[in-house]
Amino acid sequence: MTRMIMQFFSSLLAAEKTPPPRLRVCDGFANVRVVDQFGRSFRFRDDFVDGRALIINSMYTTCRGACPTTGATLKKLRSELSKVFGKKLTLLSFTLEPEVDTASVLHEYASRLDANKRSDDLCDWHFLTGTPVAIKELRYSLNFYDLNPKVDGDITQHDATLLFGNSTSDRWASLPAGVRHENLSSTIRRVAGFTTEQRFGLAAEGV
Amino acid sequence: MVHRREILKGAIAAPLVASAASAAQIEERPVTFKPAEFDKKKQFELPGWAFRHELQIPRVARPTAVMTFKEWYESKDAHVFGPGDPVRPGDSFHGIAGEFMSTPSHWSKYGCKPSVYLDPLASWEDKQRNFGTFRSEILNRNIRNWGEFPIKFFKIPIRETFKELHPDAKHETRLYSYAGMVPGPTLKMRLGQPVVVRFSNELDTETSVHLHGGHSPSHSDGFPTFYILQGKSRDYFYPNILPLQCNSKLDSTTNKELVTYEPDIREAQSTMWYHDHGMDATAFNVSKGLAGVAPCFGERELELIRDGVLPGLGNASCLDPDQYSLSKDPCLEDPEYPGFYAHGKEPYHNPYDIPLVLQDKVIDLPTGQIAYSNKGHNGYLGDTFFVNGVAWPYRCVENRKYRFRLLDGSNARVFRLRILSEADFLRLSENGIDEPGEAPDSPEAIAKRPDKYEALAKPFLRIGKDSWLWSKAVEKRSVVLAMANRADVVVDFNALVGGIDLEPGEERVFYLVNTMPQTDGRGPKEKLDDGGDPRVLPLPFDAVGPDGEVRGAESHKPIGLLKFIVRGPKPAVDASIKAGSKLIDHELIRDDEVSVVREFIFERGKGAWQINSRFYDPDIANATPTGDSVEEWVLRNGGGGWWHPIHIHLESHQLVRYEKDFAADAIELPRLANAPLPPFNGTNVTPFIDPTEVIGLHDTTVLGPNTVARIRMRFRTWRGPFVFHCHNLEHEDMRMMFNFEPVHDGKLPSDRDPNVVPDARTHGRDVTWQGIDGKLNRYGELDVEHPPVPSVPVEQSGVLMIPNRPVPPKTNP
Ligand SMILES: [Cu+2]
Repeated sequence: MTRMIMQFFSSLLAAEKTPPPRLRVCDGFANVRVVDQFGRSFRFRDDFVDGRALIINSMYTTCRGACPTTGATLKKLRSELSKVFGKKLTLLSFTLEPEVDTASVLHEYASRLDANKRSDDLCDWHFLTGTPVAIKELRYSLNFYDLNPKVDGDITQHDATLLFGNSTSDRWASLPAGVRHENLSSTIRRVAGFTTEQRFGLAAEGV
Repeated sequence: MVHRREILKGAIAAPLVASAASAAQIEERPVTFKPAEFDKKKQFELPGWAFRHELQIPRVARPTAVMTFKEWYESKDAHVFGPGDPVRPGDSFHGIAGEFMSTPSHWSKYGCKPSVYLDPLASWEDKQRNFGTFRSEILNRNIRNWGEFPIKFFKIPIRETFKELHPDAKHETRLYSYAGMVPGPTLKMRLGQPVVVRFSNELDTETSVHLHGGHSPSHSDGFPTFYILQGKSRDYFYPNILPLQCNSKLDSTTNKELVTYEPDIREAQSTMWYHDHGMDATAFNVSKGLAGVAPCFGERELELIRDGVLPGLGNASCLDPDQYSLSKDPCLEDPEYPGFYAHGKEPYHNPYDIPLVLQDKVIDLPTGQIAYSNKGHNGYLGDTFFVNGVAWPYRCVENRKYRFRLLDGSNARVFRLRILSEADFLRLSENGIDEPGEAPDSPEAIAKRPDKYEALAKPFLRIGKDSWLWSKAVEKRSVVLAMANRADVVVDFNALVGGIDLEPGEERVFYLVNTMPQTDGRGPKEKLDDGGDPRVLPLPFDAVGPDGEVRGAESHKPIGLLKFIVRGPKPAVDASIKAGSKLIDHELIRDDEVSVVREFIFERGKGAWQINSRFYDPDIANATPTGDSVEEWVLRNGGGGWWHPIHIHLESHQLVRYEKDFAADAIELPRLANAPLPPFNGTNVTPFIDPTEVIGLHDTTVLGPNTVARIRMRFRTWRGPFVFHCHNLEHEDMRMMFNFEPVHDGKLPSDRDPNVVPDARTHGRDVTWQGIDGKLNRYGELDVEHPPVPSVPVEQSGVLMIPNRPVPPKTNP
């Protein structure tokens, strides 16, 4: 009796021609030019996405609403998760007010979150600005927008969410930054982790 | 292997520079590459090859073994998951449901021995003795329930597969699949026949499988964090039993209250489906292909088929060649598809009973891949329509009655389905339904559309919703189908062709169409070119008010989904079903049975989705209903124009009242985060909804904008955590989900306000049985990420963030 579904499909695969190309979710991230708090220039998709785990959020320096809390959450996540991911993880905070938030304004803001200098123990945390057109394109490609133009145009109503994942497994998820911290941190590990160790803190045996 | 850069090259004109480029070189890089996006105009444009590919009927999976509990348990070398898999049921990484191998203590009320340490075989036979077979007075016959047929074992790998989805695409599409098929293989279930499916996960993502509309143990219900991790397996146990209903009556001789339990025959499922339910990843996984159908056959349904009421081959459609043991007949399997039945050989074979899984996707033609985006967390919408995984298919049908089990398997698409003649479909596709002189999308034109469509649309019978048959067949000309909803319908093609025989070479053509106007994930809206205003439809049901006022809006042009080509003479004998034919009685839960009322408000906050201002937290129980109690839940749409189909696991629910605030629809302003919830001035619209639908059973009730649904449900049989959530999959992944955990041992403290106070989860580890082989001596879910029994005190989970909302008063309908 040949009722070995798995074996059947493995044999199908062996006889297969070239597998089809991949289209990753992160291939849709806008490849716009952005500048970080140190004045360095990047192409968003080319320079940040491949091979990395990312945590992305939107912010603006004069925000009196969600940003201060989200910033503190990210600072905590950075110190926790750097131990798990090392330099494979990058935090990206892009401004919603690029006209106001120049590189030097972002540098000053980053200093309050200990992100104004390189650290051997902590992963990179870029605060990003760019032209308003570029930032809007980036924001839409990362799904930080509201379909209602009144909400979308009101900067005080901006998303307090984190987008995270990695380009290798191409798994991406978003969570509100306000989710209970243990939950947030373990979910980011599971979704953005490359290895079982990074995802779950264990090397799981068994089938 | 094609490198991504090469793909990009094909998609764009400018040449690409390899990585590690200098700043000057970076300047030259094209920044414009974008995967395909949803195009609202493309929804109405059919490609030249539309309706040239035949509709596929998903193959039916064949079990790897069929044997009794005793047979496999006493055999040391029974490889029930196939010769290549020596791992016994329960010894897989994620184990099997505790109820498969032991008896939970609360089942003492069903007469079972509480037997955590009892021998699994003795425990199984004890359950079989206590609720194996019972007499149903309603059906006047014996019903087989727990383990009265041998267990069917299946093994289904969850893996990537490649398939041509779109003829214009340059490459095959990478899909996630159950056993290499999209939709997944059909799992045919029989009431009273237990099924164990070993789902093994070969993907690079955690999965979790939910049998939607079933009554399954917590371990096997697809609780989002009861994962199948990468490279691991979980043995899903589907006992296919009816919920055990508590009946108490006064014994006249002893004057004592007599409590008995009898399986609830009304809950016998017909049309279940299964799909991924993995935490944070459901939307992506389902859009990539993880969904399949699982019809179930109970005594009443088989009787309707055997007696020729429902379409089928009579008794021949009630047989299963592998019911008692795996048949040795070599013809049962298609040699090209080992593991699946050859067409025509499957259990309950019925050429006149066809599942139709409706899905929409965006296909990126240069790469051939599904272009997924959560679209601002509103919901993924597609402009390419698939039925059973084939884009715009056709199907040749005989000149007779057919049963179609329609499933909205899309992420965020709401359908209004109609059947049009070929002439009407072609005319409307060309010119639309509005008059030539009418301004496009003018309110006057929009108002006239539903009546015009209703006059053109062909009638059919609706016989059920979600998993369950209705009390009787009802004639309809349209079906509103929200995400996860099923509609069981019977179409009489002979009536549609005018009752005549079609001569050889002669054919008539009909189209299944969608007339629901929708251009983003929020839900349908009247005006397709309206940017921000979430203009809404009056009611998310197939409802008609006294003056036609309540009927919903429809699009100018229909979207063709499936072409039917009718040929041949009419049958000598056809299924006898007609409008009014009795199917299975349903009975409304009485007011005095309701012990607790809870309110749940589904809203958007901080760019994500919330219930009662909370994000989903897998570690707490948001509701702990007492086992066997009846609760009334008030489900309120918190505003903003979104549609939220609310799906509740474990049991069906009944709709007792549906209210709509019509005035609020006119308010354009969005509700901003942290703004107080506006008052709700609802009109009771329940009378406009078909009473057969109201009294029928539901597992997903859609909340249109500015609506409140009052539902009632029971919490029977199983312990452990279950979820309820919005079935717009992007909303679900963004935490529009809650846990409930039926408590069968003991009652809630009386001072607990059930409406607002969450509870600690108490079950988790104990819902799983896992074999002991030295390494895998865990008994339960993994202690990773979310511990099976969370140690989080409820106080720390944010009790205080719950706004103090009053318990809504009970209404008197
Ligand atoms: Cu929703």
